[in-house]
Amino acid sequence: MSDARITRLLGRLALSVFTVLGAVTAAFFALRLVPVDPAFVIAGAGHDAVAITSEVLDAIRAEYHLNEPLVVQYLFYLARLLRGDLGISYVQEQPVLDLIAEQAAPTLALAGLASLFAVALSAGIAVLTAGHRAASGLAGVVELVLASTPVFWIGFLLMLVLSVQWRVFPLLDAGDLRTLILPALTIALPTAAPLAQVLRRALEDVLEQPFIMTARSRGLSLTAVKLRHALRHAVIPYLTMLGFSFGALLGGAAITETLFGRPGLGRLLVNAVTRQDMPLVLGLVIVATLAFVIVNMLIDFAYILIDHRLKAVLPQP
Amino acid sequence: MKKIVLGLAAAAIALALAACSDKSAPPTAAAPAGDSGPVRGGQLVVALRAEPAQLNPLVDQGSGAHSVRPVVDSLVWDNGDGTYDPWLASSWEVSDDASRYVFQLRKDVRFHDGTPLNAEAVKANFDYVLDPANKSTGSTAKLKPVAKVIDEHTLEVQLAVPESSFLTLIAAPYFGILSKDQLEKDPRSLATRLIGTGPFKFDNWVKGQSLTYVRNDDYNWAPPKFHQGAAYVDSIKYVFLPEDQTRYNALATGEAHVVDYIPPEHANTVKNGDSYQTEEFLLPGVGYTLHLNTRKPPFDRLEVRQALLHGLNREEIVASATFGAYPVQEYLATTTPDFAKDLKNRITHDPQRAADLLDQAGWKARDAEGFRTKDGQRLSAAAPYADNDQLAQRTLEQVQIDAKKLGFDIQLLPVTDLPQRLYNGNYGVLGSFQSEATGMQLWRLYGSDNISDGSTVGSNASFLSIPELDAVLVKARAAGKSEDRAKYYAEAQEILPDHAPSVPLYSRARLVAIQKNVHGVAWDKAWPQPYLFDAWIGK
Repeated sequence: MSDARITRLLGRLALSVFTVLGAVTAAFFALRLVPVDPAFVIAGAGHDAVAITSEVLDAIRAEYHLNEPLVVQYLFYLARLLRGDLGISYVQEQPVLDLIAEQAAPTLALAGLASLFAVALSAGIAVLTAGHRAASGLAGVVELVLASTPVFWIGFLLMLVLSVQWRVFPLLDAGDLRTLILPALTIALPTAAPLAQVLRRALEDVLEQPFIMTARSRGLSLTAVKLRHALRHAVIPYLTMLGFSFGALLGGAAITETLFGRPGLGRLLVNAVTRQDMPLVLGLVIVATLAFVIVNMLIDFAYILIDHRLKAVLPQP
Repeated sequence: MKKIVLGLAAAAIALALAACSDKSAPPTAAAPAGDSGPVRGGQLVVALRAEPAQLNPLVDQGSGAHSVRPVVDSLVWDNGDGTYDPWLASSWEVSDDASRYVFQLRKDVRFHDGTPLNAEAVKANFDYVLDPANKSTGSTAKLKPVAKVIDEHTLEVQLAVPESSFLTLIAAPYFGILSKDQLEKDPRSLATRLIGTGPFKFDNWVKGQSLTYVRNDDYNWAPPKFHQGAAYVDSIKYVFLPEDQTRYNALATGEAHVVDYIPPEHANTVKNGDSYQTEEFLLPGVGYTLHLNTRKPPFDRLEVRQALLHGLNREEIVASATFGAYPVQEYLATTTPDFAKDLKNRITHDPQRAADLLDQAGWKARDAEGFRTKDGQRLSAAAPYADNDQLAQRTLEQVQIDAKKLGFDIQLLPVTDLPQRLYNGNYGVLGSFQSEATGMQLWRLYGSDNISDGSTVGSNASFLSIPELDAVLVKARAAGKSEDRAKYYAEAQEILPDHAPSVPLYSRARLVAIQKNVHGVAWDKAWPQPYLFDAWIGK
């Protein structure tokens, strides 16, 4: 690779590191500026805690360096971060890294399957209905309804119909992929709706280009034209949105996870925020930011592969 | 591309077919007649509402207590009526002033890691709770128990203050006896794994989903009212379903054998219907009570407090807020062992008397919106509450509406710093739910030595300090015999309405639904919850 490309890459990496650092700093100071004494949170106050004596509070303050000035505490935190230590959860008393790692696999599984369903549904619908007035109108209405319906309600309905009434899928974890289908579908439906819209709109734009008429006049069917020629042009905005959706899913889907009783990063975050468990919240902010940054970088590289025109923008070797 | 689309479609259809073919049938109806004894084997699936933040029972009283009972045993078993049965302790002596306890331990008990149960091991548990670095904030810690080994199976515990309810406190799962090795050599692991002496051993905790225990085949030291020997089921799986409807669905599909905390909305369907067994237990203790801050106006005046106590229509408030599922109560719930069954000084609903009291206190004038005023100030109080508690919010809203009729302006404040407000006394009315199976709660909430005084977060949320009441509470706590304890706590219940430090409303009923083919689910009365040792799954 040439020097220019390497510097570009390094620049990108440096920017990513700064993004994560910025997010952590903002979260750290925002959380500490909330007028809640962390010593009380660690002592478990508010959860049937009866005897919080000054000795317990002092022991906590000493252990967690809570008496130092805020900037010093921030530097302590950064120092630990550089060593890969995300700290110990205030409420759960386990290392934050372990807590997050435990939830990584279920979250990835759910995000992966949900994205797969979303892509299949949105790409399928968009390709089938692009160019047909009536079908695309109808699809548009259905998509609007799905995008506006609360995720909770969709999940509720799916659970009631498919798990309770018709017993098609198990409600509780049966140890295999079947339990993942309903939650994944719950997330996929409202995610697929705007994706389908975007893809269909882009396809219809492309279908009006002159080269499409040329291809049709050569005898290709409308579907073949859409798939072989139009899709590639229309896929850039679609990929961008997909990147955002997937990145967001990597942060977990708290509502769906709570509804179906599944583990995941979303639920972990909601619990951490509710309990004011600062190290855990900060750890999750880092993970979520990293996820977005990585997904964005991958999407950017994908652009370069898909759109030959972009190659010209890069400095040549 | 076409092939990809076709491939995806085929995969989707295959998936759907696979799902359909594996339909699991729900358990069928009642067992055939003449079904004899308990059946061994199977996995009992229990759906719970709350997942513990961490498992260590010695640190706090709320979090894990719902789900650690199968792996830890306590020294004594609480029968719920003031008497106790032997458990890990085969016998014990209580000093006359209830401050010194000597326990004789069973000689045949082993922990799950093979170490024997002896006085040293139990002492390690008391020492753990005593050390402030361990952040133990339960009732036992507050009593500062000092344990001394008398001989290999005899232990003496000396409390800093007499406490007649000590046996109930240590009978609860939050004082389950843990292995000395784990406490001393590996305390960090207590958050995720417990080594006790219980009928089940810790197996696996999938965070956010389930907690599994497997049977301890060496178990042979259950309390006398239950069968001896090991448990019947092979394993217990606690499943965490915080969403009420999902928990109810798990009951309907038959995937959960026992479902805890059926919400008030479904209570009637489940109880009156024929498909499930139900067990209901009204949680003992002071329940949900509105504490009136006696240090700040307007509740520093006795007349104003009494006016609120007698002026609010507690029956209606409770019926609306809880959908009629929970009963209104006096200062202690009726299921508390020390509840005064022949209580004479009951709280009466008397709006006229309330109005007279307020007039007497000088709150005669009314402003444009109908609230009472005195010297230009409106009769108002701030009521902070945790904004994620829906039941509290519903209750406080009803109270606000009812109080308006009397001329009170109760302002609701959703906040996130509730414990600090308790510490600083920064509220007019504080609603809180507390439950414990002993009258000791009256001391914790209304005794003057439990006031937050800058060095501790006390539980006396009304800052009440009445010497006459304190004297009675001291006698109650120093009563070596249960009958004396009940007598003195009864006296306290007669005194309380006259001082009106709070407005008691209701206690929650814990409704548990059980599939028809599951038998042997009992109640642990020390900290009311289903006790699963005797449970077995029939056909």
